[in-house]
Formats: sequence, C-alpha cells, structure tokens
Amino acid sequence: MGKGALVLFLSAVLSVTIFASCKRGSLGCQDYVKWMDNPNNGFKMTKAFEGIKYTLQYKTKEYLAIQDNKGQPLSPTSLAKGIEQYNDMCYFTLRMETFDKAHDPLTVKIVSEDEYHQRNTYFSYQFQNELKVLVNTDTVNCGLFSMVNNYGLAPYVDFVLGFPLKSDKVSDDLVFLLDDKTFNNGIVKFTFKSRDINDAPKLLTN
Amino acid sequence: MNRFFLWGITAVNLSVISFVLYLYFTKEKIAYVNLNKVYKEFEMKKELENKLISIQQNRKTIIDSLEIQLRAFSRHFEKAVKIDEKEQLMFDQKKEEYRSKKKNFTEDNQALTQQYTDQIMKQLNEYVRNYGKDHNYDFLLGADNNGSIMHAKEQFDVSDDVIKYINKAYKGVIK
Repeated sequence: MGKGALVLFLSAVLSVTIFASCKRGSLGCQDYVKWMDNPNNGFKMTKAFEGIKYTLQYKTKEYLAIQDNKGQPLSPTSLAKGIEQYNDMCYFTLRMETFDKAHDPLTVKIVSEDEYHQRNTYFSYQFQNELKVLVNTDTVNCGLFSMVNNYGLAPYVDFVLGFPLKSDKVSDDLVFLLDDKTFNNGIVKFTFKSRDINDAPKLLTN
Repeated sequence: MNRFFLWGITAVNLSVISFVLYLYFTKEKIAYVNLNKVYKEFEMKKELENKLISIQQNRKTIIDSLEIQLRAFSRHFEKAVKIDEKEQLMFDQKKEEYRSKKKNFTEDNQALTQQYTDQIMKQLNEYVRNYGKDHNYDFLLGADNNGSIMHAKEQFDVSDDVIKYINKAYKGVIK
C-alpha cells in the first residue's frame, strides 16, 4: 500500500510538473515583452548569410498593444481596444543588418549612387512582393508593408509587415518566406511552431 | 614505508587519470560529410530544381509552339503557287521571334541555373558551418570523391546527421 501511494504521489508530482512546463501562464507587460523578445521562445528568429543577418519578430496583438501603450500596464478595456485595432492581420518586424554593424545594408556590394537609389526604391515599394506566409494550407501575400527608412544612419533596415489572416489560431506551423534577390541569398524561411503561437502566454492586466 | 608506498601509488594513479582525461578532452573532434549526398538531399536544392524545371518547361512550350507555327508556314509555302507578301512578312517575323526567344531563353536558363546554384551553395555552406559549431567539431571535412579524402572510417561520416540539420535550418526551425 505504502509503495502504491508513493508511486501515485510521484506520478502526481510529475504530471503537475509537466503541465506547468507546457502552459506558459500569464505575464505582466514588461515580462511579456521580454519573453517575446527572447529567441529561445520561438517568436524571434535569426538567420545569417555572407554578411547579411535577417531577424524576424512575430508580434502578437498583445505585444503590439503594449508597444502602443509605451510599455505601461494595460487595463482589460485598453487591452481589448488595443487588440481590436490589430484584428484580421498577423504582424512581423523584419530586420536586415550587416554583420560588421558598420554599414547600411542598402550599400552592400553597390558601386554607384544610382544603384543605391534603385535599391532604396526597390526596398520601399517592391520588396513587399518577395514576402509570403504559408499558414493553414494557404499562401498569404504581404498586405501591410512599411520600410522604416533611417537614411543610412543605422547598420540595419527594418520592415513592418502585416499578413491578412482569417484566424489567430493556426493548425499548422506558420512559415514565413522571404525571397532575397538583392543579396542573392534566395528563399529564406522562418518557421513559427503552431504550438508556440497557440500557447503564447496571456497578458496580465490591471 | 607502507604509507609512503601508498602515497606513491595514489600519485601515479592520479597522474595517469589526469593524462587520460587531458587526452580525452583535448582530442580533436573530426568528421566528414559526403558532399554529393548532402547537396542532393538539401531541400532548398530540390525546391529550386523543381522551380527551374517548371520555368524551363514553360519556355520550351513557347519555343515549341513557335516552331510548329513556322513548320505550318513552311508547308503552306511549299504547296502555294504564289507566295503572298503579307504571309511572307509574317513568316519572317515569326522566324525572327523564334530565333530571338530561343537565344534569350537559353541565356536566361543558364543565368538562372547559376543564380540558383549560388543561392543553394551560400545557404548550404552556412548551415554546414553552423552544424560544425553547434556540435563542437574542430574539423568537418568534405568528401567529394575527388581525392580530398582518400580514406575514412564510416563511423566518422556524419552526412545523414548533417542532412537532417541543414533541412531543419533551411526550414527555419533551428534557433
């Protein structure tokens, strides 16, 4: 009997431990942002090839609401409002930067100013066509695109991206595709696990 | 005397253990990969190969269609007693279009093949390098049947492991 009870107790402890490790629980605003920005949690990914580094951040609606509120704690109403304005889209920030962090990526391997302007125009308007998301058996084109122009003052260039999605929940992994024709790195893929997206931590409100 | 002997034995034992541990931990980690196998099994290579075949096939269809039209013209001219000027002009235009398209497609196919090969090699090299780093290899050698590696025991062949790793890396699953 004693042995059986011990086995039962250990099983219960094990189950609770496994359950606790699977569920991500709830986090306050700052912890939520930190958690999302941590590459180990599956919402921020990086790839690098020959001097160019791509960093992709998946942004949940809660994450965007916190950013809008400048990191301050949110009330349930303001969170709901914040989330509402981002409905029907799935958001990312893509950063392209140089390894040495000394050059503007737009100037890499160019020989003239004309070429720089051409590249700037390409990234401002046409690069959107090279971005796609594969989700729930659909291929979704980039619906919202904005290049954050820093006029060569930073060794990186950021793109704010939005893809129209029918649902927040995903049944399969979400695959982000970027066709890099400028630096000739070809298709650059990032896979966000459905488990990570569906089980993202909840945001604590005031 | 006995105590002195025991201390001596212990010291010798410790030295031997330290030496073995030193050898174990400082031993260079080396493996090799079969480059042809890795290249063939790389998902990006398979995807781009299919894309290239599809593009080339579409271009071939256009060329074949022009060729059929030109043959039809030729047959018509062979049978005709008098050749109409308009038809002759159209034939010349088609012939020119055929020549120019064939030349452009051949050049574009070569350029695209080269572009895709460069892209594949860039990503493949990076992922294999990362594999070496992640698995703490001091040397990761590439066997390509050209004599770069004359002999190596199969136990040092990590090609299958590398294939799994690079395909995961290409998919963007590895963080």
